[in-house]
Amino acid sequence: MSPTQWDLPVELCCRPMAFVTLTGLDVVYNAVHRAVWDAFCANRRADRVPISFKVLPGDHEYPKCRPKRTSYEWYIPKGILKTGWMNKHLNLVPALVVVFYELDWDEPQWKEKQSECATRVEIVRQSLQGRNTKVAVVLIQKKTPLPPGEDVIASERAAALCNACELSGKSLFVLPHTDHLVGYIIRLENAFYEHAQTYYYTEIRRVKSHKEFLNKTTHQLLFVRHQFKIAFFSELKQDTQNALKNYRTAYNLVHELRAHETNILEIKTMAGFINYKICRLCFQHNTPLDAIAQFRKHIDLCKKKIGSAELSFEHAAWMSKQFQAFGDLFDEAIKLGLTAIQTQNPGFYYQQAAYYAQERKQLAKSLCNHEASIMYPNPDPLETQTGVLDFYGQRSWRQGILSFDLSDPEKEKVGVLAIQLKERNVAHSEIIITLLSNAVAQFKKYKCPRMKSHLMVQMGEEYYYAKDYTKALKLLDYVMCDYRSEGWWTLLTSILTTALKCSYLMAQLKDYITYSLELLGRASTLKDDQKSRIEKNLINVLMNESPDPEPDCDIFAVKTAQKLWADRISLAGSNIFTIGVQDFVPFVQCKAKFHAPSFHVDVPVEFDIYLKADCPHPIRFSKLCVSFNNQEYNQFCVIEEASKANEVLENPTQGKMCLVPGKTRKLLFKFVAKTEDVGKKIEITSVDLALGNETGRCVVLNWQGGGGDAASSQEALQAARSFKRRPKLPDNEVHWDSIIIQASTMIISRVPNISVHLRHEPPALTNEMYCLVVTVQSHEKTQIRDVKLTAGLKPGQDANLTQKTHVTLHGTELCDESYPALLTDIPVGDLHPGEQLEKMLYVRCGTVGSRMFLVYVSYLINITAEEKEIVCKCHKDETVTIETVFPFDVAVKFVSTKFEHLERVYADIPFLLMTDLLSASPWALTVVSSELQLAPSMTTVDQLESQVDNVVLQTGESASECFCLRCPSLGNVEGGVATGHYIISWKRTSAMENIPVIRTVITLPHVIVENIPLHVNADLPSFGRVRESLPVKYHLQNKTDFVQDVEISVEPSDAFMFSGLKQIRLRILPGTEQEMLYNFYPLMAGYQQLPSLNINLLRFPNFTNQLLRRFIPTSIFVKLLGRLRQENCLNPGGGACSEWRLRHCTPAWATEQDSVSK
Amino acid sequence: MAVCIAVIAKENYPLYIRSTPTENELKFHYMVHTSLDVVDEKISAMGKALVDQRELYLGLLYPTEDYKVYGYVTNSKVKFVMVVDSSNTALRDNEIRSMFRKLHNSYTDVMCNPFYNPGDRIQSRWALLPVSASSPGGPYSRVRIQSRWALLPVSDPVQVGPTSCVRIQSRWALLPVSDPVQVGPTPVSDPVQQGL
Repeated sequence: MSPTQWDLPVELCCRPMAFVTLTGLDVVYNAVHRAVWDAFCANRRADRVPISFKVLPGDHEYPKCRPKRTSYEWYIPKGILKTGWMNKHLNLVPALVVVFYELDWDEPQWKEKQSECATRVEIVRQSLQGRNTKVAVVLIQKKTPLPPGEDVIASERAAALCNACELSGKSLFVLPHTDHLVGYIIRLENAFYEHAQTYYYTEIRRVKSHKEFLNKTTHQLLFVRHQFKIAFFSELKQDTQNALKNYRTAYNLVHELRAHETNILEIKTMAGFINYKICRLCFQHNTPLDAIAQFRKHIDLCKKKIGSAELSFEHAAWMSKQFQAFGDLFDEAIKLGLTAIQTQNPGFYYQQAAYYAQERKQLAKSLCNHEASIMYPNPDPLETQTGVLDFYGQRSWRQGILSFDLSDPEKEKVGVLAIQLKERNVAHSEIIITLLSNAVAQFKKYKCPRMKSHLMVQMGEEYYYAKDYTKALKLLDYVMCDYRSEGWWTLLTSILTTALKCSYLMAQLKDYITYSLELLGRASTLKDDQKSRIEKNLINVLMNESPDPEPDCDIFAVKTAQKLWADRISLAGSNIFTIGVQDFVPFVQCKAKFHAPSFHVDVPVEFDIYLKADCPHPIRFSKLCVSFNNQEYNQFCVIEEASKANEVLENPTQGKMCLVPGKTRKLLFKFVAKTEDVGKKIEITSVDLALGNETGRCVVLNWQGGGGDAASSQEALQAARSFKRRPKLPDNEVHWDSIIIQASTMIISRVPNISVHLRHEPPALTNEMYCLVVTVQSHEKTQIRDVKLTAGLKPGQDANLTQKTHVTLHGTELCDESYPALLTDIPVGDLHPGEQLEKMLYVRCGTVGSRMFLVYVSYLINITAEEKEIVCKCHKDETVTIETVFPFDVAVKFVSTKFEHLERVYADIPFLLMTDLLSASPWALTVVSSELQLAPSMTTVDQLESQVDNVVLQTGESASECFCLRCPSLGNVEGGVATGHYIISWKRTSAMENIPVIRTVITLPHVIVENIPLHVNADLPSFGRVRESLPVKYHLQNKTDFVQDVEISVEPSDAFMFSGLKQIRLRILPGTEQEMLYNFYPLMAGYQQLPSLNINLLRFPNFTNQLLRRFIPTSIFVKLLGRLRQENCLNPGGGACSEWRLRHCTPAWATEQDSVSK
Repeated sequence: MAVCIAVIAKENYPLYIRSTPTENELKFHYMVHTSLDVVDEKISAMGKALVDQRELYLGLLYPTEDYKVYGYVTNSKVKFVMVVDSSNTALRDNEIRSMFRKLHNSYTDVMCNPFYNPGDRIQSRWALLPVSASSPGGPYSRVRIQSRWALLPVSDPVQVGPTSCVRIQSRWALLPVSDPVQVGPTPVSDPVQQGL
């Protein structure tokens, strides 16, 4: 028996196709025949009909047909299915034999050729005697045939040929050897296919016809056989639906057979075959659920049919094969487009197959443990005469025997022994690993990472059993981290135990140590005795001695391993192993913690390293060193064993270097930070703990950062969540869970011991040189050097502020755009203890708003820390927010000479410009001078002298000026006429003499200038007296280029009598002036209304009286007669002046008035 | 009759795992662990569904030749996995559901224990599982009645004493689930009083 005896036969697994033989083709020497054959063979894609072709010589001997049985009465079948049957119908017995013959219709020697052809057909018929195989003739012709019916000779001769060959007309074909060969071939094929189907149909009928002769007592096997044959022929006929139906019937019939230990294998084999066919067809019909259901049924039915107990491994092997075959079918269906899901994919079947393979291995191990002295029996009971079995699933030493009694128990025993001995040579592990890796590939595809890991563990274990430790270790190592990261410690421990065995057997030092470290750790669920054994081994390894073998290892393997270990010991060389712990859970835990999140540079940096061992016995370490991101500190943080051998013996449990299980060991480290590291972070990059010493072996555990391994983050989370009260511990001990890793600290500069004061008078005024006095006083005990001052606008504010802020040390000149916003590193010099210095800064702010100013003082000082002289750089900064405001508000208005507000001014008529300066500064302001710069379009009426020179304005006070201006006629100007600029020079009253004056320029508003046709002004005294003549002269000026008709009338008033023209109509020539003289005679004292002058312009109907009245006075003050006569003489011609008084107008020189109110 | 019961934390590490045939414990551990693949997949598929319509019971996770593995996930993503013998045809979906509900109640009781720190492994002196198949009266229901205390950590017996009064007060405060039916102080009336 071959080791592949459980494999399904090839003829079962292939897709059955109709078998057609081609004769009369000389494919070797005849090019035409070759081309024909190639056209048949090449490009057999799915769209061609399913036929398998074979070229055979014309006189080929086909398998003989057994003589037909007339009665089944005495016939007893010897088995279910012959081993050769399927092959016979697939490859030996054709459905159709095609005779190729070269013959043209116009062949001159027609008679001879015809008879030769008939002979050939006859020979084929002879060799097919008894079979229903069809025969067809194909004539290979050189000429293209004429359309049917036209060639009279052809139809005649065809009929003759058919007659001669005893063929029906349907079996004669013509193959013209022309251009369209492939097309003809395809048509031929289809015709052959029809013939083949007819043949298989008759075959099915033939088999069915046997049925009626069978009886249920002796012919049970035949029921199955016939049913199987019908199904198989249906398949050949490509009638898969019927095939499936018949296979299902056959499957049920198989299980109806009487099963006994002797024939159980045959039944199972056949059941397996039929099941395979059913599942295959179900997948083909795209009904995968039917396939799965059938397979489950099959497994449930056969699971318990173990058969002979001595050969129970065969059952396991068979089961394994069933699952594997189904898995293959499933996988194949998926490749053809079926979609599988996570919970239903081929992986599960491969996994189960592997499981049965493992069971087979177990059974084989227990059943085939014969002693070496037992020889393989001779003659071999498994040998048969033909080399193959007659029937599927029978025992070679009792073929064809159907009796349930064992006729020859001795022979049976020998046979069983032979099978068992054969089984011993089977490479079980190989089978299992192949199946597992198939399953792994599937589960990977269907998103089952954990299943995949589990199978890989099994593979690893299988490799371990197969003594392929390297591969085992590789696989186990690969999956370990999955289990570790999910915290399945029991599973991890079991994997580690296997891995430890592998590494021991290979004497892999580093792996051995790593696994030991983890198995001793807190993640391991091993019992204490196991742990102490491992720890002992680990200590041995560290002392450069061999460890004890792991339990349950193969004895021979252990012997090899011991030799390997001996070699390792004798080998000198690299005995230091560095093992990074972040990927696993070692038995020493480490946490580093800085005492504070930041340290001043003048105090030593302190931190603790906490160590805790989880192993059952105390363990010594030889060295502990801490590495930092700045490697210069590494040298300060090393603890090393004073390497004296006797010390080890003296007191192993005492001292710093020994870790007692369950106790937290705290180690304090201290160092002085470098001044260059001020402002930087000091980070512990790694902690290295060396176990063992350099003379033996040294293992360096390397924690990245401040400790912590694969499991510690989860533990830290749990500890943080926990609200359990921890039991009290002695003073100097701490609870491990309560330690929180702090692996970094900041070095910050020394606390400065100076004071910085700022003195200033906020708010700042726009554009002024604002004075900021900085006072620095040293409170240090020693002299401070290199004091530097940085002052100005604090960086990081609005960019516009930087452009509009300028800082200088010199207040005597105005600073411009070129000055910076921040003055840096102004050297100030050294300061003795207690000394104080003052520095003035001037700031010019161009815009209003608040600004942050920074004053930063830095200095150097010598300090002694931990007996080390260091130079510390200290600094202190002060910030201040200064508001900038406008110093004053300037209001400008235009008024008429009567102080009436003007919307617009009239050309050539004087008006007044009034400026009003209102101080907004909280501090007193001095207006040094003011100046009015007129635009060219304006002319002044009198001198433009400043009226507010050296006026001091307190908060809220205002200063006004008034200028009389005139605007010549310019025509109509859009948007008005520019007036000019008003310039104020000012400074703070409190500012020193040398502080420059600030000039503030105010652009005056534009005015709208309008022309007026007629201007009237009046000449009259400032006041009148009762009953005394009051002469009034009105001047009427024509401002236009036309002659104007003017109607003038004076309305009488109660308060006055008057003489003059009461009503007149006159003409005024362009550019001339008309004078009207009146003599008013006041009758009453007091403020009296003058008789009103009504002027009517005939040319300008919309020129109203109202407008004109703005130019002439309407009232006058009339005094009583007598006493004040002299006064009148003293005040000649002050007309305008009196008018202002009368209007109760507040004069501009408000300072007088305000000083009174003050 | 379940042969193995496991409570798995949100982060997929085991909180409690117990199997009846103790000799092959490892096999069940692996089985439970591999079943988490399917649980994960089901949870992620469920994430799209509305939260309040979520079914806690996940159904059969995957069948093996000999065992069936069922899953259940609480609202706080704690998973319960139960392995049942395939041959036991008496256990249908309804029975499995009610077993899970009881397990959930027991788990809720554990969470109510003020001395239990959520996320720690659950240690229990009592088996949550039916010890033998011979008592059809449901050792489960028996355990459930006693399971008030059964699942409590028993490391420190002194601590257990005063909890009773504390526990009642903390009952609602400590509950991690939103479904009031499942966590109610009175056990859910069980239509199938018999056999688990």
